[in-house]
Amino acid sequence: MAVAQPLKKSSTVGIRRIRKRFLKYWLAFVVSLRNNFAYLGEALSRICFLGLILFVLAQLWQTVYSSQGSQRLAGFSLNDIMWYLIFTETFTTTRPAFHLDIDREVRSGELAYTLARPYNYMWYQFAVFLGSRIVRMAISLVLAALIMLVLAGPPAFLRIENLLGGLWLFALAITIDFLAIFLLAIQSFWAEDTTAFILIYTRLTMILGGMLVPLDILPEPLASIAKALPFSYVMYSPAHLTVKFEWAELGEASLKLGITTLVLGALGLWVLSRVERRLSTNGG
Amino acid sequence: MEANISPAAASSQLRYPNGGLRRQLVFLANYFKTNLLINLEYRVAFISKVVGMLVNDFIWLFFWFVFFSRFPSASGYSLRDTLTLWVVTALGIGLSDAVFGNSIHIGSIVATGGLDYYLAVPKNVLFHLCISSMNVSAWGDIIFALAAFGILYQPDPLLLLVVLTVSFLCAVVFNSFCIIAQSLVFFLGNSEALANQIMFAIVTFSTYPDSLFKGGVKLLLYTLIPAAWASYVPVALVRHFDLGLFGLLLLATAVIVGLAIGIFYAGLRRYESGNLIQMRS
Repeated sequence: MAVAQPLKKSSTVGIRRIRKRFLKYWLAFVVSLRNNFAYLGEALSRICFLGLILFVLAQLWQTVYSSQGSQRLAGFSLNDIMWYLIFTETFTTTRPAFHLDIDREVRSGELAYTLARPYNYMWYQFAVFLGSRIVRMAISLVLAALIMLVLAGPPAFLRIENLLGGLWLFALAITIDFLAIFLLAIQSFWAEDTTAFILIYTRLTMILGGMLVPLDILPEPLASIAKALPFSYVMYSPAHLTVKFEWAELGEASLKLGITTLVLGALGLWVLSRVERRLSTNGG
Repeated sequence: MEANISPAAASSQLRYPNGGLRRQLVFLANYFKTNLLINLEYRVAFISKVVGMLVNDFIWLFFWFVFFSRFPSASGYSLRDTLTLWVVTALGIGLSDAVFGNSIHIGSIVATGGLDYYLAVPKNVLFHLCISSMNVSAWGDIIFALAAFGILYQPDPLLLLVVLTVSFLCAVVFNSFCIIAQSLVFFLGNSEALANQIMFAIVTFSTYPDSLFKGGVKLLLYTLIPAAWASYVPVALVRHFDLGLFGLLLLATAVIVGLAIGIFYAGLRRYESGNLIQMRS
């Protein structure tokens, strides 16, 4: 009893410390979540664009399937492809442009004040990003699914393992996507303008990440190369697993995405520490 | 302050813009040069934006190359036709954004009361508004289009002339449609998001083969969202030049320009200044 008391006390203090440490990020996340719910009109205008893209891609793939005279391409039926595209297109069109905020903060010098605040700049940005991303993705996904029900009919993959496996990989993919863009955006400390970097990154994920076409359909050796590159982790891996679930693929993808998250996260913190060292402020 | 400009006065202002066409062209050339010099002042940003757009366009080119190598006969278009579509559209959008780069900001300028400056200056309001900034990434589109044309076609001055002419008309259609979309702000209030969606629509439809669309959608592309006049008809002219079709394109372009001017000035009559005092940077 005499030994158990201090242990209990120290563990309670530890939990309190952890709670205190993460509470600020949790609050930033909740505020961002509420802010995004307040602007539902913006979300609805985004769905117009998503609906348009889905319509155009539906026309493209219907034409391809009818010209091939085949029910399946690389194991994908037309229905599979259309629902695969829902996930990749929703992922792309709901990406918050937080890099513009970072760019503005660096250019205006506001970052000097932001970095002095008692939170880690990267985790704070992530909390705000996540709040925005979740609301945008959830609304777009529901509305896009309604559009796709009309364009392609109900999905053939509605099983619990598909949905949970896909959700898990999308959570990792969202984190990787954030870290990649954060790393590019923070380069504004050295480069004059980082919008071109972000544009090239998003375009590479578009082609090599399987946004427009599932990578299995690409000709070889391009398909194998694209699957091996990390661009495929953010869109192809989670969307493919959701549509065509396999336990082995879940394990392999979790490992690849998990390691990538850790590497990019460590790199982000290291770059941020370099930024803080380079920072010089003038009083006034 | 209320803008009391009738469509007739607006039309006359456009036909005889403060001293005639020559003076207006000099005004345009001076603005263009100044916009370019301002942007070149931030050289690294300028180069990175141009290279970024160039890479973006070539990545799309790569996508279509891969797509047609996998499905050569899909959509009734060949790879060459699709690349021509991209050459004409990229050059058209590039020219529109380089010369009339401010058109895309009309909605936000009106909504934030920034239009007062243009009303006070003795120049054609719409023309002045459109040319007063440049979208730097447009140069990436222009370089891409010229490079892709060089790769796609053997040196052929006559074909180059056709491509330049139809791309110029494409630029006029894009810019006019952009003015129409942005002018919605006069009627609907803050409608930037809607205007942007409308612009996304025309750009998206313009960069996919028209053979994908049938029936009502095709009709829409020749009327409400004039992607057909911005890219499909120009591409058809590059593939096979036909004087009748060219005349039809000129007529359609004139109608779209007329609509843009009419809608903008009809909206301008509803504009009421917020008497905002601001420094113009």
